[in-house]
Amino acid sequence: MTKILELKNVFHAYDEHLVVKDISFKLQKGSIGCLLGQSGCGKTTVLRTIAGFEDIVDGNILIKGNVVSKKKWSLPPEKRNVGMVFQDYALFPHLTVSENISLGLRKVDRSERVKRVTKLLETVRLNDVKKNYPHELSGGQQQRVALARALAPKPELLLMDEPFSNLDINLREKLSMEVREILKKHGITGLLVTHNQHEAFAMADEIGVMKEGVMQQWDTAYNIYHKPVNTFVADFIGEGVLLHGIVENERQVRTGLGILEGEITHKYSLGSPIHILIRPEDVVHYDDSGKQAKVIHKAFRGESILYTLILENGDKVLSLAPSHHEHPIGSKVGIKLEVDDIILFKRSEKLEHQKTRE
Amino acid sequence: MNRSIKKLTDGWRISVFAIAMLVMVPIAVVLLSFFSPSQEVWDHLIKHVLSELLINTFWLVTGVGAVTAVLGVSLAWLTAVYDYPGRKMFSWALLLPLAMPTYVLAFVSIGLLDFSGPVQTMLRDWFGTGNYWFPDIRSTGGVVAVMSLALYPYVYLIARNAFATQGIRTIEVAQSLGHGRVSGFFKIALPMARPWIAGGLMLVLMETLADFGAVSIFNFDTFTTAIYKAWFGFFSLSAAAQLSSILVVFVFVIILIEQRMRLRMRYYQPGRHSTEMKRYRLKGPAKWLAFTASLLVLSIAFIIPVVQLLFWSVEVVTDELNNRYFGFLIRSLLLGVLAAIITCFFALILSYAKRHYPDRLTNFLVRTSTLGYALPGTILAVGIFIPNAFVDNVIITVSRNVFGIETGPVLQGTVAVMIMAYVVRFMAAGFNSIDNAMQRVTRSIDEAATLMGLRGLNMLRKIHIPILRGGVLTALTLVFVDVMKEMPITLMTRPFGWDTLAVKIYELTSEGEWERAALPAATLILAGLLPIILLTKHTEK
Repeated sequence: MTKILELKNVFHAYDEHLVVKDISFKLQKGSIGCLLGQSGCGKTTVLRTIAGFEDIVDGNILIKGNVVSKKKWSLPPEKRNVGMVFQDYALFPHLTVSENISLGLRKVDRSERVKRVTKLLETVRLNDVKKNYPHELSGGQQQRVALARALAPKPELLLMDEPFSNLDINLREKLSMEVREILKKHGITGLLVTHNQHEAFAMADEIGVMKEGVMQQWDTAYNIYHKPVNTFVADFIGEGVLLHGIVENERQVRTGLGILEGEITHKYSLGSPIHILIRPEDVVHYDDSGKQAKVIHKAFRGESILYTLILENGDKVLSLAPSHHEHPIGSKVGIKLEVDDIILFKRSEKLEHQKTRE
Repeated sequence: MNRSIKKLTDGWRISVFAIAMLVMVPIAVVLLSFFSPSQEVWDHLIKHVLSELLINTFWLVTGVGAVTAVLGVSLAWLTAVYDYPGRKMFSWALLLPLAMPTYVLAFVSIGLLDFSGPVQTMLRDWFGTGNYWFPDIRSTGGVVAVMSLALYPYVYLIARNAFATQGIRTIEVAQSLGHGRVSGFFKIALPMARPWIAGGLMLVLMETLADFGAVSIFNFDTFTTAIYKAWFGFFSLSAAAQLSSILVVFVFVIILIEQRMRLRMRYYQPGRHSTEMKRYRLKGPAKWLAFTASLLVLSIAFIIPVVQLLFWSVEVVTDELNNRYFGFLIRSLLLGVLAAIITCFFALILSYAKRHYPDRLTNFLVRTSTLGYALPGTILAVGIFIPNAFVDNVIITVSRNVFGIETGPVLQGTVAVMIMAYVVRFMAAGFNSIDNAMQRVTRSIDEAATLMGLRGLNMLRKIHIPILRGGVLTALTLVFVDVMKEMPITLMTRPFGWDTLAVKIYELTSEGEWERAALPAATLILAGLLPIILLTKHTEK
């Protein structure tokens, strides 16, 4: 497999103020990456440095092995062969759908151009509206025009800046699956930026979680969720709590819910006090369990109920139960833990939302 | 049935209809004279006047259109997309020529560049008489240059707004599709901004067709000067009306194009950007080139003429700053204030009526009421004089035959006719700023106020007036300044003795007394700065 994109220790600054700090990651051909983080974390800036709209202060950006950005030099955006889908789509209002799409094909001869536009229109299912103007299209259609336009010049790499944020939630999910399918089918390498983890999970093979310009973890979606490297990632992705525990031995940790056994990812010396990450789905209702917990809050979610439980030692856990497991607030339920990977953090670290709740 | 009649006879509707009539009657009068031509007048016009007028108008419109488009668009692109020394200052300073009436720039340019002006005198001192080449300022090229320098800000202002919201983003999209910056500008950014550029250009052409002062200083005959001469030179009102009817057709074509462009702009809503785009920083020689170009335009169009005016003013101030000058000033101010108050009162009525009845008829009437901005003052003067004279005649006949009383003209030659023409001409300036403010008094604001027990006058006092105040003040200022600078209506409809600053400038410049015209001109520029201050304040928000 060939590396399409590689960032090596990239730094970017706006007027002396560092907004991207030491970012490194790679994308293999055909894979889809995602930069995930809250607004202002620098993810869009990273995308713009890759497109060539922003210069970098240090480090290297390579596309297909060629350096396109380095300290004090950068290849102009139009020479990078990188496509981009903008957050607001930035469709040209004075051009029809077809004309928008063929705008990047000026070096292609006429018959080939027509062929490619027709093919793209089919791919994004817009044949019926090819002569319409952007303002006559729905949001989802506009989004697909933007995609087709970016794909037309056959870019090495497709960049997508919050591509679905202007759409309503139902459409968002549908379109993100559709876009992923198109990219996969044509073997296109993509990198998207989003603040929405569901979008990231739906679209990407690899996800990079960013915070304040620093890459926290670059990994598969599974690992980002189940093996977060720090409490920020653990907290930002999914739900969960940190339980007090003490390392018993190399495979066991003692908690308020008894001894947990499994693969311990981070090594801590025996007997050291730690926190252990417990996801809501790790806490399973089990009536015969010796361990009882009291329901203090519940949130009905349709297919499931998210319970907040308090243990006898005062620790709180979240528990996701199927929707027909109804328990009133104040009642006691039996629970047990089903954990494969035991994720430990130092005691000093806390989850963001736990801090605020206490 | 009963209800619909009641609806139509509602006070708001009647008022709106009456205001719309103020615009429709003059247009109708002028157009009717086109359909009822008197053979004699036509023969004369076609034989002696028309061909020259058409040729002159053609060169003026194409020349000014082309030059303002190039100047306005390039300066707008420069200040909206690039960063270079002085960019912030230039981006508002390049609007300053708006403060200068075209006729002021016209006479200052002639005074400066004519054979006896300081520039050519200096050249003669250096090279000797006849040893240098110098373009004749009193030429078609000269008029085009002067009018373009005075009017390019219309294109500049509108194009800059378009480029500021979409320019950099457009170039980025173009680059992501493999276009360079230059090709991105010509192939994408420029075509995309076409409705804005064309809209600004149409305003320029309206002003060009309407211009009376500048062309008469240049002795460059166009329809406006011909209308004036026909009426006041040959005392042929019907020839004036006939010429007006031709001009009004041109104006209508331009109005149609402008309205179409406005419709298109609605679809061309630029995207929402969460962050302000970073301008491209020009480096090395490019940034000094941009600086020099901006400074050059600003100097020629504003700084040098103003400095020259100030020098002249200082020369003549002891002779000219007398009671006569204050008389002109006071009459200008008085007319400005009166017209501004009445225009804004009518504009408020239009705006409230539109709010009460957001239906097609009201919208049409409101749109008609604000069409006057496109009508040249000379046409309005003719179109308003004729019906007023007709009414006067009726009054005279009726009072003589019925009451046996001999009366003179009641309306003709009164300030009322003049104010009426001003109101029609500048209704748009007043209405637009008031209606903008009115958009913020939404229906739910009224409903919220009602729920809190505020009704009727209380609601007006506590809610509406505070929200509308800013818009009304802007409207008053705009109309006031426009009236002060206005020349043809004032000249053609003023009662005896009502000479204003603009009239004085016309009289002095027609005798080549540039220096003596400097003081009133400087006064008008000072007033003209007010709307620009408002404008830049508004765009900075």
